[in-house]
Order: sequence, then structure tokens, then C-alpha cells
Amino acid sequence: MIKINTILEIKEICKNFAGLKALTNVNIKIERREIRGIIGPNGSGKTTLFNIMSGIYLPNGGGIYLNKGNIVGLRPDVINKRGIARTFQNIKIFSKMTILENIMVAVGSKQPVSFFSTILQTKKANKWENEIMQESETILTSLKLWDYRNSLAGSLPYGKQRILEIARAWSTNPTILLLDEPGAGMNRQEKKELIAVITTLNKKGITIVLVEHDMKLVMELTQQISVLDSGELIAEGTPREISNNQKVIEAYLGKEKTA
Amino acid sequence: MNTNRTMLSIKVIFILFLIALPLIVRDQYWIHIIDIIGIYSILSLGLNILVGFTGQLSLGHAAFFGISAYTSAILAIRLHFPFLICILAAVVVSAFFGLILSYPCLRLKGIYLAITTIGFGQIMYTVFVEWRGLTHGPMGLTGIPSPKIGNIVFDNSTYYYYIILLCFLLALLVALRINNSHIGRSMKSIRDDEMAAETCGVDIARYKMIGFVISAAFAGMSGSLYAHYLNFISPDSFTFDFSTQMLIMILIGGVGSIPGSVIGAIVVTFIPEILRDFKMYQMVIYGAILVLILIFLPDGLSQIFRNIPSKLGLNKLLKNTNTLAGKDNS
Repeated sequence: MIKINTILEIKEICKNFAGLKALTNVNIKIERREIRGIIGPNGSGKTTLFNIMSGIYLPNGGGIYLNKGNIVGLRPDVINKRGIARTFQNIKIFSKMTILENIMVAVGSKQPVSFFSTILQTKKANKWENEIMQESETILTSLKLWDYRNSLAGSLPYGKQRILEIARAWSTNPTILLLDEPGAGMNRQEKKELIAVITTLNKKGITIVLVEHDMKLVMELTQQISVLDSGELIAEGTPREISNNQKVIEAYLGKEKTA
Repeated sequence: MNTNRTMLSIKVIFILFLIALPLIVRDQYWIHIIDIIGIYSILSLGLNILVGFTGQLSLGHAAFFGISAYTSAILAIRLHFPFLICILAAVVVSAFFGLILSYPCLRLKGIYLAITTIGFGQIMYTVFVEWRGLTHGPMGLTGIPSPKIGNIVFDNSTYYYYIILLCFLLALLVALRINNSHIGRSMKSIRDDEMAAETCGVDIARYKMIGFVISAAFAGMSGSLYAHYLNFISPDSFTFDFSTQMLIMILIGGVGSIPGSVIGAIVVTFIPEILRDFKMYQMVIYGAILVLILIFLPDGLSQIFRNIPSKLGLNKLLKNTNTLAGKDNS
């Protein structure tokens, strides 16, 4: 049964790649407004799960229920409009566009105005353009990126690119934000900034699902952690429970061999 | 406010200059070259919306140019339709073919997309050659009437220049409005990263389709202008060679750049004319010049012009137009 404040339910998700089982019967429930960590060794299926949740992959079985509606089979842009936004493990920003344009793409995709009213610059189209501009300004200002607005996204330092990617995902007004290794390659200062951004977004009521290798960051941010290993969910619990879980330790460090 | 006024005066000066151009040039031969540049500019503006904005390679664009030239010519010769109806029909028919081509192309990328568009170009070329009943085959269509409004027949380069200018300004306006709107931004996001665009809520099928349709419509406009200007068309003008020439225009000018589209059309038309005296070496030198441009200015000639405003201290002006909505935030 879906609990009253479960926002997303991953139910019996399976995914095979030409015989390789990437995910087997994964079940995860995510509560509204929580920060959920998903961890696991390399190749355990974390990113595959994100790709299914955002509509990039079609699972071989199972369902993903967002507010009780199954989103499996929907196009990625439709899933985004239903309220799931994401970032990528390898940063995917629009590198030849400015920071401002990156955000404006996301803000503007919510309610595209028809082609002809855009070309004729009708009142409606102009109003919408102004709204996009204002909203983008608010977002960039709140994430301290406004000063960079006219630089090309590709020219930003690495840490700022990560923040921009999160900002862009946020600009689509999601209820759930999937962050795929947001801390990868960041220095300590940048990670501090990242934690502040994630906390701010969570306080605004956005549910956050976080795939991350940096355990310190996961421990600091999340309330619940799900652990995947070889495509199976092997443990779930609070950060403290997980760090003491024997199965998890084995998955990461390998079983001790008996002579 | 000040920058807005400066922008407006630049626009007015630009348009006045274009209106006065035949009076400055006078020589009928060079006005003819300028006419061709105008027609090609519309074409490359359209191709740049598809290739430069949306990131979808088309190697079969000569087909759209041909479809519209034939549509316009046949309507004018056989049904005696006035020019305005012919050009409108040419745009609509070409755009419709753009829509048809966009369907198989939505899921294709890279080399597969290139081959599909080449295939489309070749099919249309074969139709132009073989459907003799309609197109007169390799002989082509002669006697395409020049446009006529009232008693004025636009049958010389100078008169026709103004028709081309009108169409060019219209195409430029549409291209600029696409560029400065959510449509242009969504297209460019697809070019930069299709998967990221999709997960940001961009309906990529919609914008790719718009890219194909608009660029085919632009090709439609220029194809019709071409047919009524030269009064003669034959399949030779709509070959694969011409499709690559169009791509060269936007590569030389600047992929994704609106001024670049025009610069590219100018260079590709002007340089061979200037090199005429070199006779048999003409194409060798032309090729070398193109290669040199691409080696030293990989982003096209518009790169040079991009740097000029900053040198003249007009940065603020440029930013203002870039960030649209005309908002000056600094």
C-alpha cells in the first residue's frame, strides 16, 4: 500500500542489457520532502535506476509511481513536466549557451507558447518571455550565479557547472530532484556550497534523491539511504544503520575469505 | 534606454543602406550578383536554423529549393497564378515536405541523418529529371514570368532587388525572433545536449520538426524568388553539389550565427566572381581560400565581427540584444 506521504514508489523494477541484469526487482519508496541517498559500488545500477526514473530507459518490468500514477513509458520531457528533474553523472549543461540561457530553456519549457504567437510577438508571448526572464533572474540570484549570467556555460569552473546543472533542473519546478553524483570532482569549498544548495532546495519542499560516492556528504545530507549491489536492493535505513550493516560493508569491501 | 535608441538607429541605417544599395552600385552585373546573394542569404538563414540552431545536419537542402522553384514555376506557367500566390504556395509546399522529412529524421543522428537527407535530395532530383510531363525533365522549364504588380514588371535586376530585399528582411525578422525566443533557446539546447534538453522538459520532437519546417519554408521562399528571377529552371540547379554549397555558406559564415548566414552567402557568391580572371585556377584558389578561412576561423567569419563590438566598447549593446526582453540589467 502506498503510504499517504509517499511521493514516489519504485515497484519491482527490472532492467536487462542484452542478458546482463542491471536491476532486479528493485523496490524503493520515497517520502515527500525527504533527502534520500542511493549508494552502491560501481556498476550496481544506481544510474540505470535514475535513467529509468527520468524516462531515458524503459524498464523490462515493474512500475514507477509518482503520486500514484505510473510514469513508465512516458517521454523524458513529459516526466519532467510531471515533476521529476535530474542532473547527470557527467555534467550535461548547454555549453555553448550562456548561463542565463541555460536557465531560460528550463524555465521556458514549462508552458511553451505557440510558434506563431512567438513569431508575431503577441502580448501573450511577450508576457511569457518577460516572466521567463524574471524567474530566471530570481533563480540565478538565489544561487549566486547572476554575476556569471552572460558567460558561456562551458567556460564556468567545474564546481559552478555542477551548481548550474542543479539550478537548471530546479528551474523546471520539480517536486523531485534526482542528483547523480553531484559532489564528484568537487573540492571541499565547492562541496560546502553544494550542501548549502541542496539543503536550500529541500527546505523549499523539494524531495531529493541523491546518488553519491562521497559517504561523508551522504551521511551529512540524507535521512534515509538505499543500498544497491549488482542490481539488487540489499539494505535500507538511516545513515547510521547503513554504516553498520554487514551486507553493505561486504558489498563495498568484499567478503573476507576463509582459508 | 540609450542602448535601445542606438539599436534602433543601427537598424534604420542598415535598412536605409540596403534600400539605397542599387543606387550606389548602379552596375547591372553587380546588382545581379547582389540579387543572388539575397536569394542565397534567405536560404542559408533557413539552413542555419536547422543546422546551426537545432544541430540537425541536412545534406539534401537543394531539394527544398528545387521543390519550391518548380511549384512556383508550374503554377505561374500553367495556371497563370500571380507571383504572390506562387511564392506563398511554394513556401507552403516546401514546408510540407520539410514536415514529411522531419518524421524519419526525428530519431536519427550523425551519419544516419546525413544519409537520409542525401537520400531525400537524390529522390527529389530524380523526380525533377524523370517527371517529364510536369517538369520537362533535363530540359527544364522556360518562360517563367517575372513578377508583375499593376503595370510594373519586375524584370530587371534593380527592380527585382526590392522584391528580394522585402523577402530577405521578412526572413531576417523571423530568424531573429526565433533566435531571441524560447523556440531558439530550446533548439540550441537540443544542439548542445539532446538528452539534457529532454530531461529539462524540452519536447525535442516538436522543436526538431519546427527546425525542419522553418528551414524548408525559407528554402521555399528563396527557390521561388530564384525561379521568377532567372525565368528558367532545370534540375542541374538542384543537385547534391548545391546542397553542399549551402552548407559551405553557413560553415564559412558561422554555424548558428544569423549575421554569419548572410556573410557566408556573400563570400560563396562573391569570391568566385572576383576570381574569374584566374580562369582555370579559379576553383583551386576559391577552394584554398575556403580552407584557409576554416583553419584560421573555425567558427566562421562572423567570429571577426563578434570581436569588433568589444573593441569599440559596444559590449553593453551586444549583451543587451543577447539577453533579449531588451532588459538592461547592469
